[in-house]
Amino acid sequence: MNREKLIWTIIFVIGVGALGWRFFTTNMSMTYVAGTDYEFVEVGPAQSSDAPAQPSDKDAKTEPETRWVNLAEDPDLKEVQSGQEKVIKKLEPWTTYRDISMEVLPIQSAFKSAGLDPSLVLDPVDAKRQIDVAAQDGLINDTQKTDLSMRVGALERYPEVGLSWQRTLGVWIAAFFTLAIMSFLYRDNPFYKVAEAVVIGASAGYVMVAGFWTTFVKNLLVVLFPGAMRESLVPGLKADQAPDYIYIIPLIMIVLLLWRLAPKGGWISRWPLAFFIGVTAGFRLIGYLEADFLGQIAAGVIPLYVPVEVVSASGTVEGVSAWLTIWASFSNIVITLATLTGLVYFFFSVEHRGIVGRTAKVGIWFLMVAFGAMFGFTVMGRIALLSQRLEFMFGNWLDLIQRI
Amino acid sequence: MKRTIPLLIAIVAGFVVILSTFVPYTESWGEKGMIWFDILAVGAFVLGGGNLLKLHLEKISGQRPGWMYSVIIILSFVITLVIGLLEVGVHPNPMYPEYAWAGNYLEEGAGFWWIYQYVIYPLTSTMFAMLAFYVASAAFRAFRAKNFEATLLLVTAFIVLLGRTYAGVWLSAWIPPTMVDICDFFNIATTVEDWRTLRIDRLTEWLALDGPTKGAGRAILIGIALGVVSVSLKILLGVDRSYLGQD
Amino acid sequence: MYQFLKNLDRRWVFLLMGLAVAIPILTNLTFPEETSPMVKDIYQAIEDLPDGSRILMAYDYDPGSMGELQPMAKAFTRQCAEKNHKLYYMALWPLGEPMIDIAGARILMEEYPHYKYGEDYVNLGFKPGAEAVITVIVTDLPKLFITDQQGTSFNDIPMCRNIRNIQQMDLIVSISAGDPGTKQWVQYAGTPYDIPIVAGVTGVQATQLVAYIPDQLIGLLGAIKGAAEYEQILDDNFPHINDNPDAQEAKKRMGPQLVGHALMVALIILGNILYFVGRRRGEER
Repeated sequence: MNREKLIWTIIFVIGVGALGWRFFTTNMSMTYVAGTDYEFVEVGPAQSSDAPAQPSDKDAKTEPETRWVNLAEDPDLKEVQSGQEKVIKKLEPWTTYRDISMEVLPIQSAFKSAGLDPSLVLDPVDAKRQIDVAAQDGLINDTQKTDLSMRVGALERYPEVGLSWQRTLGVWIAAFFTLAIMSFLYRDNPFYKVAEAVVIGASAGYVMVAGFWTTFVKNLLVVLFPGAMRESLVPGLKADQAPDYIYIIPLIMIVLLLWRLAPKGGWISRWPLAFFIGVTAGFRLIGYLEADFLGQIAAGVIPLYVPVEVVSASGTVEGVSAWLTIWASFSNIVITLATLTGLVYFFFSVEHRGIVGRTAKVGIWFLMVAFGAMFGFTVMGRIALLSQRLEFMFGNWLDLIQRI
Repeated sequence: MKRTIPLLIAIVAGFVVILSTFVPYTESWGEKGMIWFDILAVGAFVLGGGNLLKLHLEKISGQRPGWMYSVIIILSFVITLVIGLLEVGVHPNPMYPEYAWAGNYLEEGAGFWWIYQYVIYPLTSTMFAMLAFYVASAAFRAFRAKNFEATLLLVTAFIVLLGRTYAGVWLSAWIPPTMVDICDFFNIATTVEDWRTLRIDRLTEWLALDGPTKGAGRAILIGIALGVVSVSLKILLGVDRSYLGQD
Repeated sequence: MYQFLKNLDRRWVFLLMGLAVAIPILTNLTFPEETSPMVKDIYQAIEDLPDGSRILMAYDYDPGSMGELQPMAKAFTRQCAEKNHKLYYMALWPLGEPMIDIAGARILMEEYPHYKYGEDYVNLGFKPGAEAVITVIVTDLPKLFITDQQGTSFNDIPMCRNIRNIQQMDLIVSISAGDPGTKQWVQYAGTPYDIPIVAGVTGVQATQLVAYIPDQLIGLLGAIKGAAEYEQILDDNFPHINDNPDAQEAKKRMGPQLVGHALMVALIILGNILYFVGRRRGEER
């Protein structure tokens, strides 16, 4: 036991050391973002309301005289300067960021291989100056100069480029959780249990939040209180949305459903539950009957002889290909046989003996082939998921391969 | 009250849905029922969250084994919920800048997005990725050619595993031209295209996405459809009342 | 040897699987792809639609199956954008809503800057209720999607103004990881209302859905192989997509896939050798 602990301690120390070294010497886990600025002001006519009103094609709900302008996009605001309009209200400016690591990282590695400081990339204007200096000093040749200038120049379209500490930290947390879950392969341990607890809690919270914003607000509250919603959470709601008070019923049903959590009277939750079950039974009956029962019977009626024509490059039919016809017909015969024998196997009202038994047996064979295919495909899927996780660990976190 | 009303609700709701499919006049009734169903689904999410909270609070108060993990569950649940509902870090929607609460709750860079991106996403995807390991172990330990049926399953899986990668092409690219050579020997006119089906990758396509799997899949679909229809009918006719529970 | 293998700790198998996938990723092992007839059918179905057709992009998956499905979702988005189709994104999985940004809107913003939100694509967001969502929107889309994900009224969005229901869609692209997913789209939209559907599905689902082809489903991309083939067909037809590393995600994954499958085959063979040796020795039956 002590020996095992020692081994794990050594692995841990070496691991932490290697990670630390990589973190400080490479681009490991670094996430770069580009910012977009928003600085909104409300502008209106400089004169009072006796000025002729401008015809507006905007919604009736917004007052026609005023409009919101993003100063970050329209810094001149000519009308205001020329005195036709004035600023009525100013909002706190804000910036949103999006991940551009995929763009920044290749440029950084190009800088590095040319012997330049990769951190220059974050300031494209300065970077270009440094490229010129390096070219004058003969550190890079003309081709490199053009290439680097062009690549870093592509970043100039972003007002600001920077390293995001929140997201870089996020990558570390994601990597920790990935390792924590994978540690279960060795043995159950507290790291795995913590990760498991986090995913249970966070997912449950996530689902509730998603349900609240997407449906509770946008399907229930907007129908019951359109005016209030337009003024608060859903300003884009159309002006003529009238309240529909019948939607109080689903609201009551939600309350009844949640009654289940109360210490007494939980039986009342059966009412909404019954609604759930009844509606499900209703649409399943129709859906399965139409698509899976009738639809599949119709789809099952296929020709057993399928002539495959040979078409020349010019588009003329040159006759029937014997071999392809044999393949196609064989395929359809197999499909039909598999369906029929499979159905016999599923038909439990008759004892599987004699001819029925033998047919059912063939049905099992076809089912086994299908299950084998299913198994193969399932394996394929699982391995792809593992690949994606390892790509994250090797790419986004350790920076050993190109990120996806 | 406890049994009759829910029974009636289920029957009426179900028949309204069915009726609305066939009678155009009642189409909007069905639609409304479905929308209520969708809204009620949110109630189910909340119920799930509430149950989780209740269960783990009980575990914590009883100091039952593993209660520390229950604390983590509740913490992560509450933190996610609060950050999501309060839209922490969410900016206004540029289309409606004056409404502070009208932003996108999933905005890139905001708190809720961060939780999704760096907590939920890696955790859930790793959990599913783990199945790759277990399926390998299961293949080694349990996948045995014990009888003819098992052998069929095994051989198909074998072909599919090879055929869904480049290995299939690589191992069997020789088959079609060889078949043409053999046919030539017997003076039978044929082309490489005629024998392409015998290549492992094409054979896989046929085995798994056509031919036997399609046929067997059809039998399964029809079988399941009959099952679902009969269960639904039992509910709608009030024969199956198991969803009402006891008493 | 027999005893050693028979009592082999399963963690060695885990390690082998880990290495089988990790090493090809680190060495960037890739293989050529050849597109199969079904993949061509799907490609052609989108290609044959007149430019600017309406396509419902149903993203019904979550991070648990992103490894398989994200490349498909991206490839479908790219092909549709090449054809200037109008894209209506929606999700039936709560954890799937961000996929619309990751594997849809973001690609359009970065690679197809002429695509304008509200005119060329719209994010309708997530709705709970699974089949019940589909059954509503086949007859009345704005009744359920009163606003888009941004909170703008459905009828105020230029590309939605004339949309009553999804019967007006020229095609449904269903990317699905289970229920609700392709099966429900086929059951409640495709079959009753004759809306053509193409699908990209996980390996687990693929074999269960093939019976719907070709009458109720045009075709499906099965797991990562289907995705890789689809990427290949786009690469062949659009050279600039070929130069985009983000559009080669599934093809890259086929390297680890081959080694992983080879390991699985080896493990099955080894397991069976052990079984038959054991049976001969009378230890197993």
